[in-house]
This record gives sequence, structure tokens and C-alpha cells, in this order.
Amino acid sequence: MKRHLLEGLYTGNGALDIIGKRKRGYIIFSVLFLACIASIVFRGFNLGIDFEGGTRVQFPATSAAGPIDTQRAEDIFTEALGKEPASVQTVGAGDTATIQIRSEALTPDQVSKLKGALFEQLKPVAPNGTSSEALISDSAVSGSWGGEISSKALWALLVFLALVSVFLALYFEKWMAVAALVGLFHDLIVTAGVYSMVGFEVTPATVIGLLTILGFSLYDTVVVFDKVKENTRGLLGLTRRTYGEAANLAVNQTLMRSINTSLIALLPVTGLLVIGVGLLGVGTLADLALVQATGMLAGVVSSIFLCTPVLVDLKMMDPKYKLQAQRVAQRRANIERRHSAAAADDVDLSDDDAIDAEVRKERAMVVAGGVPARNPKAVDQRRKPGGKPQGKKRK
Amino acid sequence: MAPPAGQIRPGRYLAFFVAIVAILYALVFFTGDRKLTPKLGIDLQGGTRVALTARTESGEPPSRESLDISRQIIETRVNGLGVSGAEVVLDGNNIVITVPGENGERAKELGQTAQLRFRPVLNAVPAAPQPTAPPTTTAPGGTTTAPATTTPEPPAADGATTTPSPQGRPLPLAQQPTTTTAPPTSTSGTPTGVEVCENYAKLLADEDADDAEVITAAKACRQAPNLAPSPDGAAADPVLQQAALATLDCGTGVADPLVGNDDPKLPLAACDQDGVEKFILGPSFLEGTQISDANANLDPQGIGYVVVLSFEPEGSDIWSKYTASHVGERAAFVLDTEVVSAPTIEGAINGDTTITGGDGGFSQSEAGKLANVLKYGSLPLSFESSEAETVSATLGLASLQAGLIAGGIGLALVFVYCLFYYRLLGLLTILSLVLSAVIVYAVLILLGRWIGFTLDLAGIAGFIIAIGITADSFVIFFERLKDEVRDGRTFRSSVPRAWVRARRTILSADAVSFLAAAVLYLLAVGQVRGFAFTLGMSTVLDLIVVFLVTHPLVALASRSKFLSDPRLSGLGGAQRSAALQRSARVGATPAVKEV
Repeated sequence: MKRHLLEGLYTGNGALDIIGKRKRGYIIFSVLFLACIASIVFRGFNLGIDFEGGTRVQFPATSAAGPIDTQRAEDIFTEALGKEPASVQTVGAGDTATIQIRSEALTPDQVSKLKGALFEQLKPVAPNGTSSEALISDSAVSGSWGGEISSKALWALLVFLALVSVFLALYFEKWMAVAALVGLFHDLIVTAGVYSMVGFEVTPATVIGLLTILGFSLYDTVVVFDKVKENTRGLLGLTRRTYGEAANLAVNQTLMRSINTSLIALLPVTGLLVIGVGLLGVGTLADLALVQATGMLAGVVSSIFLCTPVLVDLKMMDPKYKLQAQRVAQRRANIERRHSAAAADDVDLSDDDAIDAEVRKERAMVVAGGVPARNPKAVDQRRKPGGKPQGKKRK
Repeated sequence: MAPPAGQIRPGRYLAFFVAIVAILYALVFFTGDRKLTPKLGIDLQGGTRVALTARTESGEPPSRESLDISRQIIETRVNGLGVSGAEVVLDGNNIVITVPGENGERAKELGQTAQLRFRPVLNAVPAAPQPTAPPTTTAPGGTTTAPATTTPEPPAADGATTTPSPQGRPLPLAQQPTTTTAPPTSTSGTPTGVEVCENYAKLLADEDADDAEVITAAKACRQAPNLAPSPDGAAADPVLQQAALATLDCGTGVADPLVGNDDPKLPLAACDQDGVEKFILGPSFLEGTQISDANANLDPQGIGYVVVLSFEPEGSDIWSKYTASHVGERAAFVLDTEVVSAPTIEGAINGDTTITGGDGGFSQSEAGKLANVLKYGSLPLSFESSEAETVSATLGLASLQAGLIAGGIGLALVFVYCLFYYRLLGLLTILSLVLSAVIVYAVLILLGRWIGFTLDLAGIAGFIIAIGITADSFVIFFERLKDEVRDGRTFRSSVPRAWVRARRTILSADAVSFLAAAVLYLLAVGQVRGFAFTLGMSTVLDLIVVFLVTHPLVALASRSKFLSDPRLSGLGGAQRSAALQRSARVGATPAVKEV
């Protein structure tokens, strides 16, 4: 069974019924979505220094006399400036471990005074053995800076959404654009929600990372929809399968690609995350990697389990597709009847002729649609009397 | 473009790619500075980076023009620091100063709007190189001006120097300096003071002199207390005055070490902005912060423009008292140790002060410039330091290494996965990724030279994340290939068909990805741009590699008997599946299969 599932995944022959079970998916997504919104509204975010404004001073955590104690650094800070730092911690590991002091915003004078005092009393030593005041890094951010980055980012988000809607509507069609945007919206909210729930620190780098998820999320959706589009070409003239079934097949066919892509994209990000946290402690790398990892997971899940089902539901609002679905059901009922009849009696020739005609028509449509028929032998097989029931696997 | 479903000539594509690589590397090796490393950002190489955000009172975005002017002014200030490799660039409404290396700390204060102070003029002499200097000294503008009027010296050189021709130069002015210079009778000349100035001149001439040393020497000489009469009645020292004036070089482009370091409580020897006059100024009696507003208006009584100055209540009080007791003397508006304007006080001034521009008045632009200087200091906009960081070279190096290691690990993981999953095709993926990296590196170096693109930590992260997107183009192609093989085609006949269909998907997916990067790049600020840039760039380069390398290589492999062996190509599973389905059809029709 497991083997079967893997084989199905690998060859993508429609083993997973994702579209059929979409109601269940919607419920799960709604719950997740609401939880995220609730967390964002009620819990808010853990905003970093860049949003509140402040100063960060960082220097190697080792001195000639061995590791430097954070308490000592804190004392020196208090002594030099007459106030308490917001936090003092050791980040990173091994040679590159550093002590990081965070405090409210300091003036350049205060910073240089602090750096002087820290160097005088701690004498930090770089991994290469040098020791000078230039080893002490500092970074000061005004409270409005993070806000500015974020507001610019939001503008970029809006413009991007507008442009990408036009692109998708032109390249695919209206409903596909809508469904892709639903997925995108989901990815953004869920990523933001996870940040809010877990309490990860939000920095401008996080906001940047969040924006680039947009590209990735849509990228994945575009690939799935491309297949859907291909599978449903000329669908209305056929009674072979409904839009939902065609879409399900497309999802299955691109499933392995989605999984591969996500894995391949996640692998470097994981590397980034491990290195970012492990070697450098916290910082741009870790922030970016974390938000990307979260967003990529959300993106893949949504393009498989959310976008396509939403697309199918949107499509089925169109009477043309509803009618076609009815015709498919009718045809299947006919076949069913024919088989039960065939089991009892001889082959209903007139019906068989009708099916032949149908098959010819179908092939003509497919050829006209540019997708050549791949298994012409199927036609012969259907002529065989006493063939086993077909098309039963799906309903 | 490959002819649809036909055979392509892989050799041509590969040759084209080799040509591109050759051209890129020829450019790298034989043009520009020929350095083989991309330009690194401050966070990777160590140094100081300051982002200054323009703030306007109305909250509206500042004009491009004023931003440009500010950028230039800040650039001259940065150059005044005497550090090499410093850069000042505009980024949206921000001015970003980057100073590599260890001496950039002072760059953090450059964004401050310069200090404007009011000092009495004790002595004024023409600057040496200009024999025709006197004309710029004040011409008392409209004699008709209201009592509340100061007559200024025109601040801008060009227009002003021509208008107030010698006739406009009135006696009181010329006398004023002379009267102050006159009491040279006191012979309390301290030779030490003169020596101090000689020492300062020596240090100025010495290019290797330490900044701090020069500043101390400049203070000792040009701000010596006995340049001005002391409050207890001791007269000024004229010898010292002469010595101090002699050290001044009023030529343009000469950085004044005292900028931002002058003590308002001490006298000051200074040049005027146009380099035509040298002044000995008394201690400051009023700070520029007391100016509440300054505007350029049309002169109601004459021609041209005037500058109308309003003070805060406290300043207004000081100003009216001072002007009442110093009628006929000159008062200097000193900005960053440069005299912007030194009008003669014509009477006690209460309320708004009007500065007229001599005969013909100011031109609109002159008046506008003076008004802005008085209002904002020398920068046309006020700036707030939104981000200021100093990264030690060690931390920078650590970040760079961490970024590279992360990238290396990421690539290695992708390699292993591709090999495991796609076998031979995985090998092609690796080759394509490596070639992709080869072009990316060249392009990085070239962009660093051409448009000053710097690679920062966020940019490295952009590349690492782009590995995924690049690899994905291959995945799309290979999955399509598998589709075709699964349908019973041979590897060889599948390649062209799979390519035609994958190409569409790759193009549209990359288009979306590129769109995201482009929008981010155009609209965002700061680090976001570096990130967006590298992401967008890798997307474009990904297309080049997948079109010119991956597809031709796969096509080549498919033609080789040995290489298309299912055990090598990793397509065995799909072939088995196809075979399985065929055999299944003998007894049963397939469940669901595409037509």
C-alpha cells in the first residue's frame, strides 16, 4: 500500500483525491486562518529594535583572559552611561561568538564613550588574535526606520498584487488569478500568524523575507495552474471527465514537482537558518531564512490544497462547467447501465457505436487542442466485449 | 528558440553560452580595476554605514532637487573627513553614507544640519587671492528700507559681485573693520599665540597630520580668547588676529577642520562663503536655533528679492537688544564656521528682520538659498539618522564566511538530493547550477564596477534563496520529461516534447518571480533592494542557463545510448510505470489516464 502511494506520487497518476475532499480542506484552512488572524490581532508581534529604535553594540565574547561575562559587560554599560541596557547576551558559537548589548537609542557621543569603556575594561580579542577598539561594532536605528521600511514594503506589496493580478488574468484567466491571489493571501497571513503565535522577533529583514515569499508562492501556483490549464483544454466539448477531476489530475501530476521544488528550495534555506543561528547568533541571515522557511511551507501547502480547490469551486459557478459535469455523470451512468446490460446480454451495438463516435470526437478535440492522444490502443480495448468496468475508480 | 518538437542543435546553444561566459570574463579581466572580487557591503567588509532620512515639515516627500543638493553637501563633508573609499548615495528619500574601514565613526554626525550662529564682526579683510574683493562687502541696499532692516552683503558670489559695484560700498562699513583693527596700540602681543598659529599652518600643510591634532591646533589659533576684546576690558591682540587670519585659506574646496567643532563662546577667525573676505568674529550672541522661519519674498519697496527672518520669542528679544546697541556695526551669520552673510545693522530691529540684497536686490535663487540656509543650516532638508552602524572588520568577515558556508551547505544539499532523485539528470542540474554561479560571479563583479552594486548580507541571502528557484526550472523540465516517458515514449523522443511544454511553465513562473523582485527593487529601501536585486538577477540568469545549457545537455544525453540507460537517467520508475500500464491495459482499461 505504501509502495503504491509512493509509486503514485512518483508517477503522478491521480492517486490522491484532493479536489473531492476539498470541503474538509476548507475547514482546516479556515480554522488555521482564523487562528492566525486572531493571534495577529490579539497577540500582535514581537517587534525588533529596528521598529522601536535603539542601539546595539556587539563585540567578540573572548578576551585575552578567557570568555567575557555578560554581567561584567552590563556593569560597564551602567557605569559608563548611568543607565541600564535593555539586554546583554552571548550569541553565536565558537570563534565567532559575540556579546550583544541592546539598549535604548544612544547618541554618537554616548556610543563612543561606551565603546571606549568596554574596550578599556574588557579587551576583547578577535579570532585572529588582534585586539583594538575597532573590534566593537555598533548599530543604531531610529524608531521610524523600521516603520519606513515596512510601509514601503506594504506599498510594494500592493503594487505587486495589482501587477500580478493583471499578469495572471492575461496569462491564465480571471478565476485562476483570483484563486492564485487567495493562495497568496493565505501564505502571507499564515506566515505572519506563525510569527505572531510563536513570538519570533520581527525585523525589517523579516518583512523583506515575507515579501519574497510572494514570488515563491505564486511561482508554485503558476506551475500547478499551467498543468490544470493544459488538462482542461477542450474539456467542455468532452464528457470524459469533469473540471474538478481534470484539476485533481493536474495537482497529482505536479505534486512530485511541488514536493521536489519545495525540498530543493528549503534545503538552502535550512542551511542558511542553521548557519545564521549557529554561527552568527541572530541577524539578517537567520531572520530571512526563518521567514522564508515558514512561507515556503505555507506556499506549497496552499498551492496544492487551497488554490486548486478554490479554482474548481469558482469554475463550477459557471453554468457551462456545471452542464458539462452533468453530461459526464450522464455518460458514466450510461456506461454503467451498458455494462450491467452487457453482463446480462450481448453487447449493445448501437451504444458501442455511440461510444466509438464519442472517442473519435474526443480524439479530434484533443488533436485540435494540440495535445496528441497518447494511447490510441485504448480505442481497441473498448471494443473488446466483456471488458471490465471502466472509470469506476473515481466518481 | 528550439524548433517545436524538432531536433535542436545542442552544440550551438552550448557554444553561445561559452561565448557569453568568455565575454563576461574578458570584461572582468581586462576592464575597470581588474579586481576579482565583487564590491562588498559594509556589513561584510567592516566599516560605517549611516542612512539619513529626509524629514519635511509637511510630511510630503522632499523634492528630488533638494535631495540632490543635500547629497552633494554631505558628500563634501564626507570628503572633508579625509577617509578613502567613502560613498554617498541617494536611496529613495534617504541619503546613505558608507565609509569602509575603521575611521568612519565621524560620518555619523555628518547628517546634522549645520550650526548657524550670529557673531559680531570685529575685523574684516579681503581674502588674499582676490584683489577685487572689496566689492562684495556690503552695499547698503535700498536706503528706503524700513527701520527694521539690515543691509547684508550678498551671499551668492556671481550675481552679487557684479551688482554692488564699488560705489555701493559705504564708509561705515569700511570704517568698521578699520576701527577695530585700529587699536593695535595695545602691544600685549603674545608670541606664543603667533607660534600656535604657525604650528597650525604647518599641520594644515602636512597631509598626514592627525585629524584630532589639527582640530586642537585650529582651536588654539583661530579661537584664541584674545582675538576679541575680553569682557573685562582687555583689548584684542591685533598681531594674533593677523596671524590667525593668515592661516585661513578661503579658496573653494578647502575643508575647514573646525566645521562642527567651533566653540560658540570663543571668538573665531573665519572665511566668508565665497572666499572673498576674512573675518575676525566675536563670541556668538545668538544661535541659529532661535530662527523660527526665513523666507524669500519679493522686495515690496524695490526690485528683486529680500529675505525675511523671524525669531523665536527669546531670540527676538536678544536680537532687538543687540541691534539697538550695535547700530552701524556688522553682524555675521556664521554657518559651520563660514560667514554666509555679514550685513550692517542700520537700526534697532524689533520683530521680523528683512535682509536686502544691495542694489538690484537678491535674485530669486540667491534669496531662496539664503533663506534655506538660515532656516535649515546648509542642508536644504533636515535629516534624521535612521540607521547608523559600525561593523568591525572581524564581524564583517564572520558574516561573509557564514553567508558563504550557508550557501555552500545549501548547494551541497541540493546536489545530494538531485543526484539521489534524478541521477544523471541530477548531475546535469549540478553542472547547470555551477555554471549559473560562474555567470553570477562575473556579473556581480561587473555590476560592482559599472553601477556601484555592493553585495551585502541580504544580497547573499537572496542568492541562496535563488538556488531553489534556479533548481526548480530544472525540476519542471525533468518532471515533464518523466511525464513523457511515463506515456511510453523513449528518453530521446521525450526531450523535445517535454522541453516545449516545460519552457512555457518556466517562462511564466520566472516572470512572476522576476516581477516580485522588480517591484521590490523599485519601491523598497535599504537592504530590501540588495535582496531584490540579487533575486531578480538570478532569475534572469537562471533563464539563460536553462535555455542555453540544461536543455542542450539533456538533449545530448538523450542521444547517447550509454547515458540514456534508465539506471543512469533515473527515469526507470517512469518507464516501469509506463510498461505496467501497458500490460494492465491488456486485461483492463486504465483507471484514469490522460487521453
